Amino acid sequence: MVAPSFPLLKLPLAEVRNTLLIMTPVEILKLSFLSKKCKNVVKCLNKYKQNVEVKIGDNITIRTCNSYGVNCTFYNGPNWENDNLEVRRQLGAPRLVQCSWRDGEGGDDDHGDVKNINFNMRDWLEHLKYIFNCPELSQLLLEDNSHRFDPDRLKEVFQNCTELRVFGINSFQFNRMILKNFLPVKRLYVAPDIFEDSKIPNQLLIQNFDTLSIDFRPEAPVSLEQLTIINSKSIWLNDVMNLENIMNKFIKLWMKGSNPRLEFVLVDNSIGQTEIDLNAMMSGIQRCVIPTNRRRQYFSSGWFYREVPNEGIDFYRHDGTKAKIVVKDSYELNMFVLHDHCILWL
Amino acid sequence: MSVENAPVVDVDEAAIPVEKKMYYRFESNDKKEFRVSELAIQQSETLNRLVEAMGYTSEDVENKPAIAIENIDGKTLKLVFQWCEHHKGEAIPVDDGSVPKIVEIPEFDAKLMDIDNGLLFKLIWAADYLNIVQLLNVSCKKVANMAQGKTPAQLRRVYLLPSDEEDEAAKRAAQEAQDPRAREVEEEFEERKRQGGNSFF
Repeated sequence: MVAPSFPLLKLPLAEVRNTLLIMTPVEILKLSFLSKKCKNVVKCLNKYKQNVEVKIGDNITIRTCNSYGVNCTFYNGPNWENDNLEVRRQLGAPRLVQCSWRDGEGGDDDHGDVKNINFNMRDWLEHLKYIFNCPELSQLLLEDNSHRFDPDRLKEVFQNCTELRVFGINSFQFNRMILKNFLPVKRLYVAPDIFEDSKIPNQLLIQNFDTLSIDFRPEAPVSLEQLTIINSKSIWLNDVMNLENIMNKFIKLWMKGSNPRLEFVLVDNSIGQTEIDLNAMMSGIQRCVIPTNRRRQYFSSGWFYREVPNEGIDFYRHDGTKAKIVVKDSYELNMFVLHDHCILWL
Repeated sequence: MSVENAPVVDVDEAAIPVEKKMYYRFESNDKKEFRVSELAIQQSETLNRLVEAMGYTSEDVENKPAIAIENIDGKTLKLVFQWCEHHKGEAIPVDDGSVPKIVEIPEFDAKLMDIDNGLLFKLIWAADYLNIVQLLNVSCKKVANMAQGKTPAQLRRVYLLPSDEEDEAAKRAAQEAQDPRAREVEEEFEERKRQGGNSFF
């Protein structure tokens, strides 16, 4: 028996759109493979440009940051444990792609599979970026076991990412290759344990990132020397041991002229639950107390912005540049360097 | 068709308030006439604006000719007005922008839309023309449900989706059927675009 057919694309365009908006992401994904016209109709569902994020570990997941929030997972499941290792390593055509997405009612994620599409990883990435109107690869995250993929092939497929995050248990050689292949990026997030002896190379610290974020571990704490070498506008650090002593010295050096590009420092000690003593940190530093009824200021360092709290301690660099240091919730230290270009008056 | 013989569509007497309500008369393109309550008409933005603009009194409704809806046939219009009468007084849904869009098909609507795909196609065109938001939602949901569990090849068959080659062939055929002068202008325009010119003139 022939299944009844329905000429979908002969409906008014608004109703084609209405129908597609009711379909699940897997259904519209399957439709998008059928022709250029279908691909363009699906693209029209996504009016606003967004980004994609890629996570690489045991498998590869591409997530669209649009209202669908679709996660497409490649090279997953038992099939890839025993065979097809070379296909996976070279990011060849996966036989099965698992998709999940928010169900629209705030409940658990929904999911579905797409099989037998003869696309390799690069084709998939380009297709997803196109149909979901997510032209930028905003984040590439490498986790445990991402060394199963060829680092050169990863570079070919996932080039031009804005933010690179390298964590997890992989070979040092693989990590080196990844950093070599993907830098420069605007934002870099790393942990010391991805390097031999947990030592972050100075050649990395000295680079001009917009943001450099480092997850320090108690066994590999940050040193004053490392802090002064960092040349990024924004430094985000986690779990810094002996913070008061190091920051006291760092602030004194900054006041004398070190780290001239610096705009923002964030230290989050909430994981180790080490309370921050601001008075100890500021001992011996000339400072002034600001009235709490001052006009509200916002601070921007390129890609993020925050409200500058009224409380805190202000201090000045030798050239007159003002900075403010604030402790939030006992565990989070914010240092704002109030360059003219960083201040937003709203 | 005379006014006396016009079918009255599913009027729920209990739902009609005590004061006299107006029933408008509409005529399909195959000259079938329908009497529809004022409240049911509110489900259609197009008809609601039309009757507001006409400003008919009760006598006008009876004495003047039925309002012609020239691009919808009687069979489709009957379904549309049955739906409007059943859902009269209900709020018009507002799109909250969430995706995938959540739409439930009530039992009455499911029975109403237990029709062949040709009539469903006409019903969606009619609902689009008359701008009946919730009828569009449920009818599009019925179309969307046809995709459930289908492979891309099955989707192509269900939705009659041509391949790129078929689209190209159809485009060429349309171009060949076009007026030769218009084709010349189009070719000239394409040529200028290839040469990097921004403006045709």
